This record gives sequence, C-alpha cells and structure tokens, in this order.
Amino acid sequence: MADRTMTADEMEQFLSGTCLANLATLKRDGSPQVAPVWYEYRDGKFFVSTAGFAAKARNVRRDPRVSVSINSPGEPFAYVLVHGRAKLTTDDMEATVTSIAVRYQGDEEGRAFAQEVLKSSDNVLIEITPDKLITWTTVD
Amino acid sequence: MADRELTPAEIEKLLAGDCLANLATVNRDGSPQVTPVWYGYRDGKFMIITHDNVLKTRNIRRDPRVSLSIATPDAPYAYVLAKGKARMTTDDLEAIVTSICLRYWGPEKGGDFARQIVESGQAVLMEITPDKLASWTRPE
Repeated sequence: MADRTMTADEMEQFLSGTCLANLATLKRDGSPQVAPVWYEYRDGKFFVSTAGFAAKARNVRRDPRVSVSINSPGEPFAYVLVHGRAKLTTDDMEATVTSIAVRYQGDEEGRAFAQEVLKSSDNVLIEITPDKLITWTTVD
Repeated sequence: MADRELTPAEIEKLLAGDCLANLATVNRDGSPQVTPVWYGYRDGKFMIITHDNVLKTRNIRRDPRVSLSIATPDAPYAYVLAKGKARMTTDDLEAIVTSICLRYWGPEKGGDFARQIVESGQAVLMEITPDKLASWTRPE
C-alpha cells in the first residue's frame, strides 16, 4: 500500500460521492467552529445549504475564511482538504438544494427533503471558492 | 422522526465507535484549518496522536482553541461537536496510542501500527478538554 495525492479524475470522482464534508468557520472571537455538512462540488466550487441564522452562515458573513475536509469514513482512506473563501448566495438555490439532497438521499426522499428546506425563506447557500486543495489517497 | 440531541448514553456510544473526527485549529493568519484524525475519548477528554512538526500541533501551541466534529458517515446521521482547548502531552503515550490504534484497526494491524508509532519516538498526544459538547441526530 502507498499513499499519494489524487489525480484530477480521482478527485472529481471522490467529490461526486456521498462522503460528508466538515466545514470549519471562525466565530466572532476568532476560535474555530467545525460541523459536518452535505455539499456539492460544481465548476470548481463547493456549495453547502444552510439556514441564514445558522452559526456557520453568520460566521461566514463576518469572516469569509473557511476550511473544508471531505474524507472517506474508513479504508481505503482518502481525503480532500480545502482552504478558501466563502460567500452567501441564493442563486440557483432550488436546483442546488435539490441536487445535493437527491445525491445523498436518493430521488424520492431527497426531493421531499429539499421541498421542506426550500419552504424556509431563510435558507442560503454557502459558496466556497478554494485557494488551495490538498488531496490524499491510499492505493494498493 | 424529528431532529433531537443525543442522550448521554448515545453520546458515549457514538464516541466509543470508530468514526473519524475532524479537528479544526487556527492558522497563524487567523484562518481555520480542518483535518480528519483518529481520536480516543476517555474521562471526558479527547486524545489525538500527532507529531511536533505538523500544522495542527504548531497551531495549538500558538492558539489552543479547537473544535472537533465526530459524525456518523451515513443515515441515520448523528454527530457530536466539541469546542475546547488543547494541550500537548506525552503522559501515558504508549497506552493511549495502542488503545486508539486497536480501536480503529483491530489487534493485528492496529497493534503493529501502534508499535511503529511508539518506537518512532516522534509521537505526541494532543489532549482536548471540551468546554462545550453539542450533539444532534435525525432518527429514521
């Protein structure tokens, strides 16, 4: 077994799977805050759906610097780490929320979940533009 | 079923499992840094095996504030979030390294890996004392 960085194709494939992401943001006092999230990777950016009142949304509004870890839950171990900047947007909200939920939950359950989320007028998307991507994979 | 917090017994059970943790620290420039790690949980503290010359260790020597996320990888989702302060220690190094490696990799592979880590003479432990634990689950 050996460890190495992912090829571009491997990274695309890994990020199109259903591993959770962990999103780290900064609280008002500068301390870190991390929480697991669903995400979508599209056109080189990461999208996370959340409530506008959620701590991560408030944190990003105050300080856009974020870090994201997407890792396989077990063996073979693989991860993508992202450093970047986030902004809040509502562009393409319905399509993005639906596509994320369907990817993680399947068509029926995902669409129903997305409809629930979209009922809230407070829902926002966190759009993350990476400055730096680090990848790691274990190969036989 | 509705979202809710975990009971104390459910928290203990989740933390005794083999989910990875994601550890967020603060970089020199104040930005957050998150990375997947193995952890041990004992007497209300989290222990992480690391080295002196890696970013997360350098970060906590400068700013001990950390955040940890431990989430189940699949539905029914559950997670524990801890915020707290970290310090470096080598107390009980061998026992703690061994217990963590065995939990994740079993007696054979885990035992070998633990011996490698201990014999390297490079390992240190990050001990995290939580100020706050939050939990969440969405039962199916």
